[in-house]
Amino acid sequence: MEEIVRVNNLVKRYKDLIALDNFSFSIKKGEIFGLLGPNGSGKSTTINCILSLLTYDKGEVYLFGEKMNVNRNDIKKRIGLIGQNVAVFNELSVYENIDFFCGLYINDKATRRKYVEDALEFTGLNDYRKKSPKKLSGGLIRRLNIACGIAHKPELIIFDEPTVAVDPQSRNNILEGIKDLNKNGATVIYTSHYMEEVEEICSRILIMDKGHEICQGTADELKGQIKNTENVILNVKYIDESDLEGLKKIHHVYSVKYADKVLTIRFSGGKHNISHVLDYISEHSINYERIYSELPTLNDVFLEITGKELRD
Amino acid sequence: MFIRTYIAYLKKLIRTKSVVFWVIVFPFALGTLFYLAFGSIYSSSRSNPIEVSVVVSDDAIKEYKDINPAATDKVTAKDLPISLMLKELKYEDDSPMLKLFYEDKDKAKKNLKSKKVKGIITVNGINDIILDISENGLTQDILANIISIYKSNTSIIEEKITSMIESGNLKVSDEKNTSMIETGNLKVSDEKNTSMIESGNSEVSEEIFTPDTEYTEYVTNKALMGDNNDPYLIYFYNLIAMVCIMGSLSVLDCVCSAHSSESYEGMRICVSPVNNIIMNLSIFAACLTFQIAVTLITLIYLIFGLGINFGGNLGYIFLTAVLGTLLGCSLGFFIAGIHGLKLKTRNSILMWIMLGGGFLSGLMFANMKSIIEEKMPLINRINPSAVLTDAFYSINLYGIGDRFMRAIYYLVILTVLLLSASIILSRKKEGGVYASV
Amino acid sequence: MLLYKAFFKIVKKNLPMILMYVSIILMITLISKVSLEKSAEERRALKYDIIVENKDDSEISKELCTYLSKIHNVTDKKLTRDQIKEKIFYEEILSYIVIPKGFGDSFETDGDLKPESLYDENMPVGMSVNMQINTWLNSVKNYQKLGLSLKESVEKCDETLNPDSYVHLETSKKNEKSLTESVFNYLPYGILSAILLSILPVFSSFNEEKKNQRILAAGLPATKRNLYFALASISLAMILLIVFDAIGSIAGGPEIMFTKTWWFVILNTLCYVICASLLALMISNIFNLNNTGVSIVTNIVGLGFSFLGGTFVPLEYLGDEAKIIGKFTPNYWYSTANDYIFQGKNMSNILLCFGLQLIIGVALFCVGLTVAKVRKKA
Repeated sequence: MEEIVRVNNLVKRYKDLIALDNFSFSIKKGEIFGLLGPNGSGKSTTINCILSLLTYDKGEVYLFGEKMNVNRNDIKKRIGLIGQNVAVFNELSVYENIDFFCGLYINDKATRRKYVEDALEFTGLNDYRKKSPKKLSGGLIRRLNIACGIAHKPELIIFDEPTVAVDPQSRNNILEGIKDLNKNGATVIYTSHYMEEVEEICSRILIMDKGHEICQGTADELKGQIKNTENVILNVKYIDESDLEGLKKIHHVYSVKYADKVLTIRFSGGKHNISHVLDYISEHSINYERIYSELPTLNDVFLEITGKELRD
Repeated sequence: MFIRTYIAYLKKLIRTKSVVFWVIVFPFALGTLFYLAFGSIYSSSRSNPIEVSVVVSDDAIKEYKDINPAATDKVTAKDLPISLMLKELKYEDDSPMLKLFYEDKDKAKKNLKSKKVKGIITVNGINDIILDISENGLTQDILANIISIYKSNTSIIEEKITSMIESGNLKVSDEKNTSMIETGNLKVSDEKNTSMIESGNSEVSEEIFTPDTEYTEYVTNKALMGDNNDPYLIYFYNLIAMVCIMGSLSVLDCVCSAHSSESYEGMRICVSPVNNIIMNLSIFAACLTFQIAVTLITLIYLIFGLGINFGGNLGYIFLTAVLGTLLGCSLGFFIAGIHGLKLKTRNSILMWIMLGGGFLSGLMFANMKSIIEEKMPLINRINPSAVLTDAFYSINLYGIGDRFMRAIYYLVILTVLLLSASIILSRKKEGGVYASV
Repeated sequence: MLLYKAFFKIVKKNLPMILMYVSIILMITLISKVSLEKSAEERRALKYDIIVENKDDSEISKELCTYLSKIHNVTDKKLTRDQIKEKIFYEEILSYIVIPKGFGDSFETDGDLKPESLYDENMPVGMSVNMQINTWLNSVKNYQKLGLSLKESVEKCDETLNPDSYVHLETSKKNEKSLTESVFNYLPYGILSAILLSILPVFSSFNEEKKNQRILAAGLPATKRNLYFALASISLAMILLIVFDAIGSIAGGPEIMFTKTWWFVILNTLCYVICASLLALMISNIFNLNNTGVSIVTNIVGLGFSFLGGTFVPLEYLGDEAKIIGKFTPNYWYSTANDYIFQGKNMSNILLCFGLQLIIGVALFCVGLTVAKVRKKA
């Protein structure tokens, strides 16, 4: 399979801070590659270095098999970028915006017109083509932002946290769109600190922290790497210290954590784990409001490797 | 690519209402204020009487009484020949030229010090007259000339009398003679700002003196200024220069907004395969078009709305304004092209050039430009405001000739320098990421 | 305290621009000083730099040149006509006089050949040289008609006409004093611009914050917040006042400091600063300005007030209509007070000017409040 992106030993320093520390990875054609990590882990820096928006201290970036640098317009032509912030001109209409940004890539008038129509169609903005972006709702303006990034039909599309501060409905919309783009043949890089999204759409995931790679693989592969197999979660108003110790002694339990009135019990292997917990709770007459069982998430992967939560 | 970007940015500029509002309000508001402040200065200063203190010593009155037997005891300071002459002085429109205050020496000195009067005329004798002034200036010159004409006439008459006595034509006791000293109605014409003092026929014994004391206008005046000689025009030149140079701000804004370090749109433009030079040039062209429109609207308002006469050929005035806008925009382009500055810093630099340059070319202190020309002429060649005001000035002053062409050369050279530097700088894209970690 | 600090943080961002106005005032001070010293050197009354080109060979034209060089500084450098124009343009010389060939004969025979004089109408004093030439030639002619020889006539004219003999330029011994006066007269431009430039951005950026619902002082009640703003504005105004007063006072030298005049001058700037601050508050109440807006409003108000109110151009030169409009600006009353103070006018006159500045300030502020309130209701 053709390698679309190859990053070798990238090092980027901001004065004292090392943002990227010998960071390497590669992406194959047709993948939706997820770059997952907490805020400040170096995701955006990676993207900006790939795009030559930032200079880096060491390492190489290859796109479509060729070395990328700031003057490689032939490579830039094949890339689309959708950032976490809306990047459109408020003074131009929806159509004019898409046309302008598409025009930076496509010179032929007829082709461009068709591409802009396609983008409008794809993002469902057909009815708003003459509207000013200022008059669009939050969800619609996100769609415009995407339309501007993909109108020229790039082979590699980079989504840099496109769902930050987006309502759930628009978020689903965006995620569906990304899947569709991928189906149409585009390779996608998707960065986020929302593990659910990454898990949902990405064919391969790289988790990073402090400029390092933590691990990579498909979601299942990643989860398979850790000992956690199941989490039982209870909403409990109050629990004794002794009960926490007691819960720990249940078979297969390796961690019990109580915080913010939520009790999380982690299991490594075993079956019917939830009924064991229920047995203990009724024995010790602990009051709870809700109990449920969960398969491990990417957050657990992150937690187990770094010892901290992904969410914060 | 070029045309598309050009159109997109032109639309962006025109549709940014706050920018359009301020860019138009600025010259209109300041132009109107200047007009209100200076519109009537020239006409009002034209026929205002000059305030003068007159101090007449007792000796002078006594001397007058001695030589003029016709004089009674009632003769006062106001009856002296000099006083009569001063009183008779008129402007073209027949309004009195001087406002006289007869007072004692101390009071006069106090008034001179507090600038209530322009000068003190001290009369110590018929031909012993002193003028005290506290500063040099046109009014003081007029006063000095009045005195000199009086003195010249009196001494000529004295000379005549002496020579007649010597030749035996005249008896010393002739009553008439003494009164001859009175010089008659001196008329001062203020037409075309030339206060020419003509002394008419002295009211003296006709048979002897009449033909001789005529005053001939010997000097042919050639005014340097062109169509409009209102010196306050310099402020309007500066206003237009400021409007032209303000164009730099919009160029700066637009070109920088295409930098990846200044906006999200800029990031998007930077990752696209566009040629940076073409991109920047087309943004520049869009801003230039917009600014030229602003400059022309300003000029039209000043010339046709307020009726300010810039002097000289209108076509060339507009042409100069357009070139000035080009200069201003190039300046903004250049500042936008310097790598590694924050937008705020760039803005400050431009404001410094605009206002500091305006100051150096006489926006606040009208003589500034000539002072600079004397001490550091180089500044006047590179200060955009000075280069521009100079061009406007020379249209009015010299018409379309060498002097104007030289001013235009400087303008063009400066523009070309800035523009080529900007293009060279544009070859490399400005790096960085907007709102990065 | 947080708010107080935030206020000055924003002010600090605009420091380069504020410093520009300070340096403009400094430049004006320097130039006033130099030009006053220069005029102190040129104590001779009504003496100017002129160029005389004598193309004629006659006695009368030579005598005329001699006379002119007696009463003026005559340069006889050979210059091209363009260079001379340039010199007149930049006011290096006052006028350029050409005595044409054959003038002597023409003068004898009352012919039409006349000296030419080129001068800049921007400096109408150039005409006075013409008048002097006219008077001199007329006198010579008249003396000659009386039978005097040319030499005798010229001598007579020298006696009577040389301004040295009858014009006295009253030297004001204390030049420092007039320097203080002129520097303090220019201060309002710097004060007003600097205050607008520092206060307006603060309010516009706090308004911006409000829009984003992230107001810094979310926990503070409105009255307390306004109190902090007022305190910060006052401290800022005082800092600017001290800076500008220091410039004026240093220019005036130690003699002027702490004299009665000085105290009045300082009081005058204080009144002006108060009025300027109130004006800034009014503008921020009425307009919601962005960055461009702030700098443009600063320029319009700063320059406009200064021109209409006699800061740049002495009040006496302004037309009647301009004066009427000017009276609505604090600059007018500031300049008037400044004139009065240095003329040693009555205290009541001066105090009236102070009062008017304050009244204008309060009136402007009230207008701002009213507009803001009306807008809120709507």
